[in-house]
Parts: sequence; C-alpha cells; structure tokens
Amino acid sequence: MKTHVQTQANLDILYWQQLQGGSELGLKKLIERYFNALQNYGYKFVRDEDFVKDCVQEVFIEIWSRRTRISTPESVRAYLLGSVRKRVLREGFRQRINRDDESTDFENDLTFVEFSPEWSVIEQESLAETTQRISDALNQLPKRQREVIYLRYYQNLDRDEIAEIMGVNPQSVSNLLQAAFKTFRENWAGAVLLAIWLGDVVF
Amino acid sequence: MKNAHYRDYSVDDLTQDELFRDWVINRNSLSEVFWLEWLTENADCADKVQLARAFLLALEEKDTGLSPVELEDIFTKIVQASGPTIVPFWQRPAFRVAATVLLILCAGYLAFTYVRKADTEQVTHQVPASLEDFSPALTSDYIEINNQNTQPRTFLLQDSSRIVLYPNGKLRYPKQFDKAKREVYLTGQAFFSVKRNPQQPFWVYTDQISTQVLGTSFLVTADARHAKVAVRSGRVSVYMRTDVQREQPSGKHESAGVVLTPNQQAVFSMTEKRLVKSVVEQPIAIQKVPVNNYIFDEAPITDVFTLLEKTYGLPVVYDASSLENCYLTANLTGESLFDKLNIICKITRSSYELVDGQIVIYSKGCEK
Repeated sequence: MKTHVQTQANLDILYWQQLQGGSELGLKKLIERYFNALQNYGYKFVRDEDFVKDCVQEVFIEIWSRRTRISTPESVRAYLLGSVRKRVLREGFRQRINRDDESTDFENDLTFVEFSPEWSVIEQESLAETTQRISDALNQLPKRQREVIYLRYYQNLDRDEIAEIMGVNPQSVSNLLQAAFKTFRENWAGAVLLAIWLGDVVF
Repeated sequence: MKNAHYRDYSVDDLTQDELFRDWVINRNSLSEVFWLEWLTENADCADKVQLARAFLLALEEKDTGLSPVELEDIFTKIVQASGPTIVPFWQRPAFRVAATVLLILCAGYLAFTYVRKADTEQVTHQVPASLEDFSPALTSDYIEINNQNTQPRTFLLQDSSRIVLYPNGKLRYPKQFDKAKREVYLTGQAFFSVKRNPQQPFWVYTDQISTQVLGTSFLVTADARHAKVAVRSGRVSVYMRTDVQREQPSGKHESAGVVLTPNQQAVFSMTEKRLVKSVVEQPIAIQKVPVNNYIFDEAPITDVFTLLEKTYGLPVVYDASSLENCYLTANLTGESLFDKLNIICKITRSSYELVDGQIVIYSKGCEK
C-alpha cells in the first residue's frame, strides 16, 4: 500500500511539473484531485462554504500565476493543504478584524471546529451511533490534537507532511497524536470496541 | 477466499487503506461493492470495519464536495483569473488529429553554452565546425531562417514538409537536400510536418540530440537544460549527436540510438550525457477499443494487461506465475491509463512502476 501512496505522490509531482511548464492539464488534474479535500479542510476553520471555496480558489490562482517561479514541493498535497490553512486563517482573521473584534493572534484565534458528522448520509443506525460516540470523544480533545487526528486519518498524511502544514516540528506532531490517543482512550466509554484498535499506534 | 489479507488489518490499517478510503470517503460505488462483498464473506470482521468506517466518518465534514462539472467551472475561472494563457498548439484538438507523432526535442543549444560558458568563444566556433564534419550540406550552401517576430512563422521546404518556427527559433536547411537524406539544423522551437519519404529520411540535428523520422509530424523545442522527444504514434529514432558523428563513416546508428514507440519519450540527461527512455506524462489510447472491453468480470489479470498493452502500445511487464490467481472485476471505461493502473493495483494488491518506457507490475500474488 505504501507503494501505491508513493505512486500517487509521484503523479502529483508530475502534474505539478506540467503545471510549472505551463500545461493547463497539470493544473486541472490537481484541481480534480484536491479541490474537494482542500475545501473540506478549510471548512474545519471557518464555517462558511463560499468563503472557503474562494480561499481554495485563490490558492490555485496564485500557484497558476506564479507557476514559472515556484519550486516543486516535496509533497504537493501537504503544500496545498498548508497553503489553504494559511489563507483561511489569515482571511478569516481579517474578516473578524473588520467586525471590530479585538483579537490579535489569528493562529490561536480561529478554532479548529468540533467534529459534527452529517447524519443524513449515514443511513445505518448502528454506524451513526458509533460515529456519534467517536466524534463526541474527539471533540473533548484540545483543538490542535483534533487537527492532528484529522490530518493523520482523514487526510491520510504522514508525520512530516502534518508538521509542514501546521508549521510545527515533526516531534510535536507525534506528541500531539500520542496525547490525543491517550485522552481519546480515557474518554471513550465504549472501550470494548476500542480494544479492536489493536495496541498502540506507532507514529 | 479472496482478499484474505484484509482479515489481518487493524482499524488503524483500514483507515489508511486506499481501497477502504475510496469506499468510505470517496463513496466510490465500485469500492463499496467490493467491501460489502468482502464483509459477507468475512462477517466476523464486521466490528472492525464498522469502527474504522465510523472513525473516518466522525472526522468528515458536511459534504462540501463539488461535482466534476462544478470543478470544471472552477478550473476555467482559475485560469481566467490568472490572466490569458495560450493553449499550447499540441494540446489543441486539431493538432491531436493531424499529428501522428509528437516529438519534443530540446535542442540544447543553450545547455551547451550553459555548461561550457567558461569557453564561450570556443563553443561558437565549435558547433558549426563539427556540423561541417558530418553534414557539409548544412555548412556550405544553406538557408537560415531566424524568427525574430513574436508570432510563429510557417513555411514549406522544397520537399513540401511544413515547418512552424516559433519566436527566437532558428532553422538552417540546405538549398538542395542531399539525395540520401534531408537534414536540418535547429536551435529554438519548431513544429515539423514531414513529408513521408523512406528513401530520404528526415534528420533534425540539435546540439545534443538528433532525431530521425521517415515522414511524420513532430515538435522540436530548445530549452536551457533539457532535451526531450515524445512520440504519439509511429516510430522515431533518437540519437545523441556525438554518437551520430562518431558512427557516421560506418553508416550505422543502431547501437547508440533509442527507438521510441507510441507513448514513450526519451529525455536527454545533461549530467549523465545519455538518453533515458520513459513513458510520456499523458499516455493516450493509440487504438480504438470497444467500450465494453474495459468492463471486466472475474477476468484473469493477465488478460487485462494484454488489453492495456494493445490500447496504449506500451509493454506491460509482470511475473505471470505470481499473478495466476488474480482476477479483476471492475469497470475501467473512460479512465486514463494511470487511473486504470491505480485501480487495478488497488484491487490486486500490487503496485506498478514505469521503468525504461515500460509498465512494470509488482505483485505479492492473490489468494485463491
């Protein structure tokens, strides 16, 4: 499976290099691959669909207009997620300023929102119940731990990629994840199911 | 039992598995069928699967996902917002129909000066001098067209081959072609539609590589660092120019050249001073295959690879014995080559690599 992920990352690099060479096809491929995932991530910070969509769009516009001058990132996906995170936080903060809020620290001001799965799409009752319990437990975690869990599992990123996106060092990512799992275990009442998780997560 | 390896997966493993994520996150119906089937055969794993699914769903957001049509609109908007761009002509439909071979050659004129900038003087003398050695026609009675305009310039050669010379491109050709071969010398970028004539092969020389074709269309581009030839269909031979010069007297080029077939390309490596063969970025079907052929129902995986070979003209290399028990049930209609390979690899627990212009499949084999 690792090789498969590797192949995907190589394809990303390929598309990126096509984009740098001025190929609209490369740009299009990256949009098809990542636009939705990027929106999903941005929505975790600001609950405003149009706002987030604009932010993601602007990230791509900036990449496309600077294509001849930008270098190739080690992980295209991490670069895109990181760019969206930065933009959403910055623009979101700016909007608040306009509304005369007094905060000055946009990194800590905007919360990584609570998980609230869409129940309508989960038709199966027992699955919905389990999902609810998991998200309740996750929502008790501090926001940075929640974000690490989200990036690790939902976006399926590795430690270095997460570190790059969140602007912290890789060890902090590991620490955040370990702490998250510790709390998660203690909080979650349905420990029976958790036993199936099988041991510690090494990261 | 099929796909038994998933039985050993932990919840953590499942959340990272591409096929599993394809079902839970991407809601891919193909993957869903796979997992629901797997669950009926492995009912004891239901709790584990349920937990992994719930975990991913708990992290999920309200579906803000856009449809392919909406993404297409966004793509258009993004391109427009960044100012007008020129669609490269080889991406226009007209070109795709017209061209039988797409050749991207980087003349390496700049590369040569770049590497040897310490003795620029010498270089400027050296290039024509060596050209004189093996192509007297191009150094004595020749015509040189130099496009200093901002627009591409089109003209015909005496053999009715059509040339589109791009801005800053320079093309030199003899007043009268040699009887044995048609030779031109290029710096910059040009598009060639060569009149077919097997008795009189067409040669495009650049500083680093030389390309031989019997008659077809191709693009030659100059770039400071790279040299590349990509083939759409037909057959093209690419040589390093040093080898052409060396072997000129004996008249044979077989040993030094790289022969390219459809969807393959040769890249000249400046550092290694050699031609590296690979697969083009966007392989296209070279032959029309009936739509239904890409719907597989328990098809031996080797049959699938044979069809891929036929469709894209690229060799698929695999160990037949290890794939003996691998069967594929999937609808791959309309997917690109790489998307097809990704799906096949996901389902059969294998991976692929592009090596030397071929698709190499690695597989751990499938359970009976």
